[in-house]
Amino acid sequence: MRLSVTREGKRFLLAITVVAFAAFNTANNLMYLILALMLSSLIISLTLPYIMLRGLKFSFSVQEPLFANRESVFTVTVKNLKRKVTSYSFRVIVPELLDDGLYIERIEPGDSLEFAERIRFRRRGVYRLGQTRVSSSFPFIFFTLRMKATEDTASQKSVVIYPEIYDLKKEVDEFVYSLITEASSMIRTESEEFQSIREYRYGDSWRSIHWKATARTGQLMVKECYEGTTEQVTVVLDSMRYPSSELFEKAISFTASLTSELIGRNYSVRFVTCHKSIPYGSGTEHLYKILDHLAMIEEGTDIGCPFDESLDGMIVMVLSSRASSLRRYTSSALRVYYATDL
Amino acid sequence: MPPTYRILTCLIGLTGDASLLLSEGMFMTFLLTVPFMLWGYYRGVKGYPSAHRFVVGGLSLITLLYFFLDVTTLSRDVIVSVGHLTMIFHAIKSFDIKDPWDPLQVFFMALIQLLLASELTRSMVFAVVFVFFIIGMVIAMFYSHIIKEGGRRIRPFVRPITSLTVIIMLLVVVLFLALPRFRGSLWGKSLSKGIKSGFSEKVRLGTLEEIKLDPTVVMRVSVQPRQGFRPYWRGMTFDIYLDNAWLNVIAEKLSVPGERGRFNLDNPPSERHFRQEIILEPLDTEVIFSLRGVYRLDVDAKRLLIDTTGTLFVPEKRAKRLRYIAYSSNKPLLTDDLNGVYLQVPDDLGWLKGFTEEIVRGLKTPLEKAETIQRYLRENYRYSLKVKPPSPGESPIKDFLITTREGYCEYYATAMVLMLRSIGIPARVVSGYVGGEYNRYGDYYIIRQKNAHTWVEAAIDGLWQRFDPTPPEPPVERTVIALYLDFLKLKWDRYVIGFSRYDQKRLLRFLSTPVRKRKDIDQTTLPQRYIFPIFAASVIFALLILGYNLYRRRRALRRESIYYLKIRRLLEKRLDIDRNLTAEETAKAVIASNIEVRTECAEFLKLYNLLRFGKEHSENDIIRFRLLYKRIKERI
Amino acid sequence: MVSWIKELQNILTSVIKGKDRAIKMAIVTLIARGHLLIEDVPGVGKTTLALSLARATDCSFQRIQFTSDLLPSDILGVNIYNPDRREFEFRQGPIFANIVLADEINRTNPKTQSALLEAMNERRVSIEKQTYPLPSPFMVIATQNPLEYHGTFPLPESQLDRFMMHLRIGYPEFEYEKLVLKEVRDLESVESITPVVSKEEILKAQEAAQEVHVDDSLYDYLLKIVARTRNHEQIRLGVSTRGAQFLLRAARAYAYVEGRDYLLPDDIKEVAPLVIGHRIILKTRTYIRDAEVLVKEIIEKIAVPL
Repeated sequence: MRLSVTREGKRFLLAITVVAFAAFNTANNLMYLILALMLSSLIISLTLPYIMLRGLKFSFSVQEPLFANRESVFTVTVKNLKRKVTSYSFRVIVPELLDDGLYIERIEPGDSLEFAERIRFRRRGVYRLGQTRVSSSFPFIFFTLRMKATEDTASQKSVVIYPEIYDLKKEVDEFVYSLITEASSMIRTESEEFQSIREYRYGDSWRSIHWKATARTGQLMVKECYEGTTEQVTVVLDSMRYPSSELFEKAISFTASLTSELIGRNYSVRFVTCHKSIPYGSGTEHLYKILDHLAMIEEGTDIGCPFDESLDGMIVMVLSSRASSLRRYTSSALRVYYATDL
Repeated sequence: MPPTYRILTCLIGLTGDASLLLSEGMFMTFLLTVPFMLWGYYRGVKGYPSAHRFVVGGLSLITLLYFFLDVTTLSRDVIVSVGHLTMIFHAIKSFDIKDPWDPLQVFFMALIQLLLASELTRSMVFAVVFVFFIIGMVIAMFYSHIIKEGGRRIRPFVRPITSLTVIIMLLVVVLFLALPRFRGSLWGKSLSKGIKSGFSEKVRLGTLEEIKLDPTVVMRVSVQPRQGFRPYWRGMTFDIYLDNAWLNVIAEKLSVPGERGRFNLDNPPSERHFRQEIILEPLDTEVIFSLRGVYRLDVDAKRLLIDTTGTLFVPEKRAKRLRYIAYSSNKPLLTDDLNGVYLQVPDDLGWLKGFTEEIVRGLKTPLEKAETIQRYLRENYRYSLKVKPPSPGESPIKDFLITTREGYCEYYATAMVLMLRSIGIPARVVSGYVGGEYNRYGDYYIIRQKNAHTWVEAAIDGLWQRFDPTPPEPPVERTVIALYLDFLKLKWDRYVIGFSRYDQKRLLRFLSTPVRKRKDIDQTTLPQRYIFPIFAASVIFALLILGYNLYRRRRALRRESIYYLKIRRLLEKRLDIDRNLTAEETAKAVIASNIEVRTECAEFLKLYNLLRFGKEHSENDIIRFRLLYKRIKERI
Repeated sequence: MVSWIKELQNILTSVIKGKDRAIKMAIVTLIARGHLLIEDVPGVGKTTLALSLARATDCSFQRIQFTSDLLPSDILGVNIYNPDRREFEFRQGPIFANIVLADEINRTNPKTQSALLEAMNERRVSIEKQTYPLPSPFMVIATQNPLEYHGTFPLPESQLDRFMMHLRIGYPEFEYEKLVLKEVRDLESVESITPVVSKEEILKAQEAAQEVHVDDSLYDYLLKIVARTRNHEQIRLGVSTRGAQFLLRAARAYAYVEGRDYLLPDDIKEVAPLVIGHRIILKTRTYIRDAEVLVKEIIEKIAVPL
């Protein structure tokens, strides 16, 4: 709990001192009246903020998923637990998110209010929500009381912010084109091979209906195949020794966008860094698995990259610079991006 | 900036100006600044741009120059000059209110104006202005808070503002009573006027004027039996008139023998006598007042002095009220102390003999002569409190008798004494108080400074006969409102202007011994008389408000809901249940718990639902409901 | 408590295991004179529910399988020339039954959909200036497959509004699913259901349910819930007045099914997510909270009348 005096408050205190001296000196009771007025305003401004901020319970939630530099909705729920007292005019200050604070005009006793604020996280990573403060200078402008906000136990405690994702459609279009032209023959043969035929179930794509089998059995049959064995891509991110941390962030953001675009196109993506490898997979859930990792990844300092994954198949590499220790794998890569060029 | 805020700022400026204009000493020409100020704010509300920087700066500079002129030559009073300055600045500022923080300057200026006014006035009008100031200031400061927080509307805050204003007013009263008062000033001299009685050894003619306007209460007297005449509360006498001032030279003070505060001066008269119970406010004199002919005095003092002219003194430095009981015969005093000085007439008033003889021509007895002079003065001179000082070297008495022919009691009495002396009748001037305001509620007289009076005693037939040449002031017909206002003024003067550390002490004693019997409390001292009823009334008022609030809350709830809520509260203590659960959900939670009366609780809650939301229910349900309520309450 | 409701519930639960809530809500909808929309994957007992409800209540039953080539006349009926009598005579469509199961309603084209919905709403069929009233009681149980999107016509919001409740049956719990597997007779058990209540009794119940006493404070409670959906940050479109009416009717029917002749806040709380959930449109479709959950949250925050 911290009480600060505003500029007006300092002047007011000075004025009180002067008037008090004058009143004591002259023993003029009318001046005592004015002094009494000033002192009562002082007492009120010192006590009311505390009363206003007491008994408030907050809970916070953020609309997920969150990406760096993308607008999201931050919901603050305030509940006034006091039985009788309405809380007026206070601010909820959330560091980084709502530095100026969210202004709440009034909340009746027992009531709870919800506020949705548009926010934007600047950095990827884990953000802890539990540092919220409330402040009030009610009812005048002389003092400001700040205290820690009481948070609901059910309130969201921390959120993961994924790296910034931008549109890489063009880039990937180019890339897919080369994928098809360069490696088409080998892939095609495999792709037609289906594993089994089964009965049609709700939810199956009409495209996958096996018409021959349908005609044979008189029931709708679908073919089940290893989707995407054909369309596998390995994304390699160098996570060691970048020239600057901005470049590292750039590389991460680029990798995230690339992965997102690839998975959006139904590719099966494997994700490899110097320390971690996430095996092939597709679908949104897989994307978030990779993004989770990208949100948390930290730059390594080792010189070499301890890299024991066998790099086969289609490979896209995102490297720190041309001096990267992974430079030697670039020959097998379909595409190599250098952070310094991004 | 919202227009409401501008209007509010304007109102506070007006309050500040009003506080000054209603005080004494301000030049009324400055009333002219008010329309300018209104115009400035009107422009602001209408959205016109503020005045040009140079115009504002130039005007301010001119005002400052005027201020120096004001202090040095025009008003020659710093307080008044600063007051004038603030009024002009208010008007200038009204054209130049731009950002939301400008009004703060106006508020501050208004505060200064109020401070100045507090030095200039003691009138009750200040109270009215002050109350306006409190209300305006609370709203305005609140508004500035809202603006600072980025809000614009003040609508949602009407309720808190109202309660805040009330709370601040109460706090002002409490703090006013509680703030420490010091005996003297720490530094410099108080600028305010203290109680001057005018009862010193030497009284210069023309100094009573100020006193005659002062409504401060000097004493309160209850007389037994009530007399039918106008009471003259005799103070001290003066014998020598020199250099336009009355002096007391021959009187010799003697100590009156007495013990345990009881002093006997004479034998009790056989005829009727008067018992006067007197409470005298602290004055700058040792003289005490009573009807003439005191033969016994009860006072809580070590010594009592009396001089040869019958003036009584309590020679103690008094800083608090003096209470004493005087027994008087109200008969003229004997002239056994007759002395030559009672015939003294200043040399420059030699013409007076001829002047007086002209009036009393053909009259034989001194009594007739004295009565004629008294009548002559009463009928031919005009009573006035505005006496111009005579031209230098001119005697004020000559001025009064021949030139202006108007004056007040001091002039009349002086003139008559000197006239009597000039024709050989010994006479002296007596000062004291006359009449007073009779308060039928307490059967006592309230005597104020303005009741101060001077009259004449002439030695005729061995007695000091009393004459009063001053024409009676026309009786003022007072309406109920005027009487009530007077009552308020009395309270204002007594409890606000005249509030002292003694009152604080008494208040503290009163509050610390609330169980003391009323009998013990001095009935005629005012704090106890009025504070107790006020205290009781406020307690009753507070209880009424509390009761009303409870009633309103309860009225909104049905009786079964109240029972239900009570049980809910009990259950909330035992179980971790949300406040917003329905009765049925509560019942489920209770059943799942290990509370011993859970079945009863469940039934209770079911019955509550039936009674509260059901279409109809039997008397049995209600009985059962109450029974369950009691049982659960006992067991949890 | 009307005894047949309990009996009806018992019978249905013996046929459809582990779906007590769905069964109860179906009965509530029937008594509230509403229609039911079930959104779920196939094979969780939608048809069984509809069929057994019809059997147990002595009601006629029709099932319409919606396909993309289904025409309005296939549902409502058609005027056919009768050469013997030399005039057109109306041949009733499958909708002329007490309980109609409209299977996979989102598979058909909007024209057919709206024909059904109009008939549902007005409880009569108009063909060539002739109006034919539908039998009463009348209840449509429509199903929608949430997974299939190819070649489907999802019902627009204004059409969804005509269904009183929107229900999800869900997979049965483990033990119940085991029970289902163990019992061989599936359709036979439905066949074996004997009516426990007559149509007249249902009509009476429908009337009685709307007589359920509502305390004034409960209207306020209900309206507060509705109002909150209209000014909630995450909701684009709140509940209409018709939605509020439906909510009150459903809550009354629920109270009636619970055997009370007065409404409790619990009744509103119970039915509101199902009645309101499909009537609001969220601003963003977040995958954690869907409308029903949101409605539940809203209700939790509104003070229960005392």
